[in-house]
Amino acid sequence: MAISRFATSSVAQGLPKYQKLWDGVSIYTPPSFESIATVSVGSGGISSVIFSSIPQTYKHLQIRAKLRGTASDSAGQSWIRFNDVTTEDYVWHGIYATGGGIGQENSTFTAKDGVYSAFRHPSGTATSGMWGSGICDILNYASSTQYKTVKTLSGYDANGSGQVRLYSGFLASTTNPITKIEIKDQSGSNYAQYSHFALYGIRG
Amino acid sequence: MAITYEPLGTYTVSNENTKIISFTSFSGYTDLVAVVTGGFYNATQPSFFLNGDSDWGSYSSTWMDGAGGSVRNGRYQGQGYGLISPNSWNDTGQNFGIINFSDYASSNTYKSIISNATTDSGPYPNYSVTTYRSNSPITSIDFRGVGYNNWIPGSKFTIYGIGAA
Amino acid sequence: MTATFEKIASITVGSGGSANATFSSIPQTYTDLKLVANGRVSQSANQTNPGIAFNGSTSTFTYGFISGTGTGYGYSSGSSNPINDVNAANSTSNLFTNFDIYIPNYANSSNKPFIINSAQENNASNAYVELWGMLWSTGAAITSISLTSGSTWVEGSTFHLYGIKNS
Repeated sequence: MAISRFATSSVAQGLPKYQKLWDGVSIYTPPSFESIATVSVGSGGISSVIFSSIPQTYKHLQIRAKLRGTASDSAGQSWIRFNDVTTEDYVWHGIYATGGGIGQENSTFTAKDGVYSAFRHPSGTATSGMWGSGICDILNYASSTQYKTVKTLSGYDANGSGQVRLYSGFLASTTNPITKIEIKDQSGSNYAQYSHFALYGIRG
Repeated sequence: MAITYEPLGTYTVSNENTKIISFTSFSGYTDLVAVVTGGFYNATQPSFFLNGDSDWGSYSSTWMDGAGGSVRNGRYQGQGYGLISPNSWNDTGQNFGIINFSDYASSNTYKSIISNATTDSGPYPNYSVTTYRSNSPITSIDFRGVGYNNWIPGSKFTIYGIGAA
Repeated sequence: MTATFEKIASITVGSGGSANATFSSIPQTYTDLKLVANGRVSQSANQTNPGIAFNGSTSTFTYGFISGTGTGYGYSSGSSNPINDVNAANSTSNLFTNFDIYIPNYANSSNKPFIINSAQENNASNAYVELWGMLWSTGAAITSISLTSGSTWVEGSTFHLYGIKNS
């Protein structure tokens, strides 16, 4: 079987494209999508991921995560909390598919002390090496007059099990700007070493 | 400051006998995002394989789509490719997918890839998550049809690097 | 040097609201467009579907979407120009729908497939998370995008248009 292969290489071989702010020819324009902070989980794991003192100078936030829990279960899910609010003030909804069925959830039936199921991921008894990933968007996070709707696309596949999820939620008790985000496994167990969470700001 | 949304490569198919499009050499970022538009002369599912690895058993996927009047889901185990879309892409070229490769350069974990796509007929929106069972950093991405069908000219592929602080 | 993920324009709806959110004279120098919106409309309902127009045209659109409400789910499709459900007047106050629209290759003369991801929340058992696939079957470069509320986009609704460049 003939295979036609066309290969392209990156412009720069692993080097940053812009090594100087001004290359003497033109002015570098930073992108509107900017990295704010990153949490990379080391040996021993961590119990929660915290982004604090979030600059209020962006318009939107995005969290990009790769994660695995350590709870004695094959799969887990994580909640997101804002500004240390832990009371039963979060509302959330979602749709998920396992490959063997489709379902939906909402906060009417379960706990409301975080935006639940924001990320779905393998846990401690899942096949070694399996990881989940997810992208979470929070718009107008610095507004003082609007509730902040969270939108998350996440999932994992463990070669015989898995789940994809599209979930949403918001903190219903306050419209305060978001200055702190905490992400935590709902089981209370640690995230495994090599889990990775990155916070980005999007300029508006 | 970490570089974000850095274009690392782009390719537009011009030859009607093109089966595989390869991208290599994208070190220095945290995530990769690929944007793919196009289709195949003989409709097939668009897919990818990594590091030249198309061995059966290297990939598995869980997916959800809307098609045929209902929401559907499924799972592929022990595959030789990862999914861009569980739905076939035809020769109109009016099909589109965004693929997120999370922490692609890790040398300690398997790779988790989320794809969000749509087809022209329907349209059929869908998303899927693929696990690539290798701890090796991703150093190459090949896009192909599951049936190794020919991409139509005009099919377009771009990869962006997203750094993290 | 041109930034590769760059804000093109933004709209913040002021007092009195606005029937439409329109980006016109879109530069043709990017590869893809991403429209990030946080919107709410004034219609008397919990949620409603605004419309979309490219270059002033509301025709030749087709859509298919997955919807999860928290108490159910479904798929619908059709040949018209609605977009995702957004918060309307009877939903929880001060709550806006988080949605984004990604349009690849907007500046070429081919038909345009695009994707919408949406989260419309409400302090109730029902809300709408949605994934849309759409197609605009007019082979023309997109020079304007309009989101038509069907009533008014309320004050505080925001729309940001970003250009993504592949080189």
